[in-house]
Amino acid sequence: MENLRRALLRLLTVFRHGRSERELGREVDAHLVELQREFERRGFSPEDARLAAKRSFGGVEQVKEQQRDARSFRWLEDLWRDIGYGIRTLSRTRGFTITATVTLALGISAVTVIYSVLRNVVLEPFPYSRSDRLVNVLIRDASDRQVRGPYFPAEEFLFYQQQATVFEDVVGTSRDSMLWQGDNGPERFDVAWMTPNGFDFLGVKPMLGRVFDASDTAPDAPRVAVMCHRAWVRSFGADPGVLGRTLVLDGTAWTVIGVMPPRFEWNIADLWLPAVMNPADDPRTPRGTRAFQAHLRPGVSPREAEAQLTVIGARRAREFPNEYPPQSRFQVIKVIDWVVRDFRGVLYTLFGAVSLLLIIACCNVANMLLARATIREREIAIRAAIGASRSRIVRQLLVESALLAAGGLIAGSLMAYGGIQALAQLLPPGGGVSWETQIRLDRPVLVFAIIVAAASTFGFGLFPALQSVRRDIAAGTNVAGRTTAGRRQTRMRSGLVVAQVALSIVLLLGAGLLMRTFVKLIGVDLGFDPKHVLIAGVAFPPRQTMTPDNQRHIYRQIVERSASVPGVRSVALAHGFPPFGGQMMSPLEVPGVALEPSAQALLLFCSENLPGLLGIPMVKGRGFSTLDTEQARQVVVVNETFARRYFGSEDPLARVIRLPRLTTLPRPITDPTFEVIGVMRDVANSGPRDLPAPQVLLPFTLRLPSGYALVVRTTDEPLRAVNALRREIQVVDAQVALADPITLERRIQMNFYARASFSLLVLGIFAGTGAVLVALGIYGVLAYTVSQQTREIAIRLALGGESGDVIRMIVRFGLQLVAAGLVIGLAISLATNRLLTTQLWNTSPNDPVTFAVVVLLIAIIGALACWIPARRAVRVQPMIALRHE
Amino acid sequence: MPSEDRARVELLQGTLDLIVLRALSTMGPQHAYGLAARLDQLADHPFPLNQGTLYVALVRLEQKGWIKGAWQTTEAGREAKYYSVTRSGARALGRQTERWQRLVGFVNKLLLHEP
Repeated sequence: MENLRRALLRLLTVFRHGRSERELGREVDAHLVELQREFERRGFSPEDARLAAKRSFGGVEQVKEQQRDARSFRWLEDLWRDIGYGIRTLSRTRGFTITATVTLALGISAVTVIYSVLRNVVLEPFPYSRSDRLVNVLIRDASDRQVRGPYFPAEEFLFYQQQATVFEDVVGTSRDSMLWQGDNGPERFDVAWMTPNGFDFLGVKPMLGRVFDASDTAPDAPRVAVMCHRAWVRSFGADPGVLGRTLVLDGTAWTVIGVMPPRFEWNIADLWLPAVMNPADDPRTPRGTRAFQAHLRPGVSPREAEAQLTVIGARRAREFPNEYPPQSRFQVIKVIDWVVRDFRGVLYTLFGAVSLLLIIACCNVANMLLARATIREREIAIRAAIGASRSRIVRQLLVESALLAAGGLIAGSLMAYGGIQALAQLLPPGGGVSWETQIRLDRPVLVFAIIVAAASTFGFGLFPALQSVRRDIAAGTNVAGRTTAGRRQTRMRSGLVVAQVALSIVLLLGAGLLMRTFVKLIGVDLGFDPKHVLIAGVAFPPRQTMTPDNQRHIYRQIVERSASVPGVRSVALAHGFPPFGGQMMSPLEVPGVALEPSAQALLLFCSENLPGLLGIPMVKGRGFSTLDTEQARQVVVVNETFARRYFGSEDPLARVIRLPRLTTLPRPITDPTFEVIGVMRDVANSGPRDLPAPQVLLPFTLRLPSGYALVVRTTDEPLRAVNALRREIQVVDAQVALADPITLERRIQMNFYARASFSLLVLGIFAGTGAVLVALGIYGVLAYTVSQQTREIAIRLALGGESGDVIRMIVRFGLQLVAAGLVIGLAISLATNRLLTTQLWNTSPNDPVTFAVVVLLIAIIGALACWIPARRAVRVQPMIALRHE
Repeated sequence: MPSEDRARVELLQGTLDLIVLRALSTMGPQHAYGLAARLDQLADHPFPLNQGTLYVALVRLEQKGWIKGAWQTTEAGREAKYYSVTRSGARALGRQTERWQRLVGFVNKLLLHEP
């Protein structure tokens, strides 16, 4: 107890050094006076008494030292004083302090932002327990195409679940959508059918109410549902009263028993509904086909799981040879890898880039400290002369560096906070970022920032500090206070500039290559006009009475009424996201022609006016007529790629093709033979990066009843028409909902450009910052060199030297550094740019144009940074400079 | 001589706190000089330490909360810091004394009775 009390008081005394010291002095003085009086009483002369008192007391300084050791922690006291001294020193040179702090803040915040993205996107994206062992199961064929999974029919799912021993537990989930007739008209809910062990499997507690378990799927149990936080806020205004509320979905009542916390987005559903799996489930319904997701047992690797599944699968393949292509293999992939895919590469690239930026920032501050060390040479020499040890001086200088880093940390954290907010908006949705991801500045990220700040303290501070004490201390104390021994220092500072230039070349080249890619991507002619086009799903409740005829009738009415909305120019129907379609592919057969077995085509069901609406012209034959669609004729329009690839030079018109995939749809089309009536121009139907795929357009009426999307061309901002469109649909059928309206441009941006623009923007900001830091670095070194050479320059000018010669001399020195950095940076880039290959498109990692532009840019920045100090040097008045000495 | 010196100091380091506590407890509030003078007087030969050495013990005891210092005026009208034993100091003195007795008893036993 008393030892703890003493330790605390010792700690406290550290911060009361002055007071304790005064008190001790007073006490010792009083003591000495008493002793002296005593000796005087014994008959000593005052002078002898004073000496006798001192002898009897012991060495005063020694006693004080012992008392100081006992009363507080010396090292901490020293540190505290160093900090006070450091703050005073730094606040005297405000310009230096602010520049250094801001430079460090830039580096620290950039690294922190990217680390937080990396951590939340790649390292720990899921709120689920055991997510490091969460895997998906796929089956791939010999050409590595994914042929089965992660969705499996119930019977097959249960077979693997029972046979495999490598899994700890398995959950079966599938997505479905249902229409809820709410107070504000019908609304489409994304629901997930989930085996009742689901919440146990994921290990997440509900935010409100409870979750379901096996007892909720007993035959007589009431139907219950658990709600997603997003849906709770969106559709129920975050009202806790939703618990116990009954929702009628597609005609069936479900009672809400719980609401999950915000990041719980399993299968991105609005509602989770419990549903056990039975081998007899119809595989064509969502309930009957589920994603197989499991936890590996601890210590089991994905490879081992694959090995076991391959053995089990071989047994099944003998039984069902049609489902398992020869040489197919299992792939067990962690869900994190499945979601993140190659986005991981993007983030690691960016992380590498920010690390470079931080190093550049550290080089800059180290350079500033070195310049400052020269100015402080006298101060340090004097401290050494009066007895400060080298380690003590190094420590003092490091404390100053740590103070700068701490300033950088605080400013950097604030900047990172803003940066993270901004970046969270920019992240490509779905493109490698899971829905569960939430980018934030949490504790681990802050800890990381602190570690970075501490590491950079040594990174930029240690070298200059050691350098300061290594120098001949006597040189610093000479009367003029001028040093001549600057060569070694200059060499080191030049080295730092060369390193900075080299690193920034690497950064700029990376950004430049991404920019080339992006510009090329944007420059791709999509082949159609995506401006002012709105896409919105039309969602029907399930109706037993719905026939193709009356649904066609409703669609026609919706299209007609929508076209009358002010600002709407035309309205079409399409399946999925035109012209890319629902990504439905079908093998292709042409009677009488031997096509390769891999021949296939992208299918797009649409109304007759879709090509016209998107601005895709016909190059041959005709498009669909109203009669073609009204009567659901067996006719198709193909694109140029289709015609070229499968008919070559022959005329495709009036030829017959077969699309066997259509016979296996949930609502099969029994006769898959079609007559080609027209050829339309190619569009980028696989996105701007890839060549167009062979495509077939079919009349939408062939596939009814089914959910189609409205494609609406407007005269201006398409989203403005949404409310009016919703009203028109309500008039046609009050139970039909308009779902997920989005502009075609936005959709294309999200699908094809988001990631490229994300990488470009972030890397571009880093590269720009790096370039600015480099400019500052070059400028700093030259300005310093010039100030050291003022005398020499003044003499030259006084003796009649040309100012042009002087400028040339200085600029040559600066450009030599830049050139050295350029050579080194280009060499590094040749090696590292290969890492960017996966993010480039139609751009060589050693693209000569980019290299030339970057070299030119750095040369210009370097020349400017040299020019300013050089100009200043020749403006010096010789007499003033010399008198100053 | 250095080794002899060190032996003397080592012996005292463990006991100096006890000596100071006990002296303050019998003398009542006292300043460092008065305390040193008293110890000199008690010892048969001059007290084996410089007077300044007391300061380490004083700050240690004060931080443990066993004694308390306060500035007062001496009889001669000069300022001095007077130390007095606190209540927890008095309790500690009892404990420390008992420990010391046990230790001395054991050492004596060892020295006197063992052949």
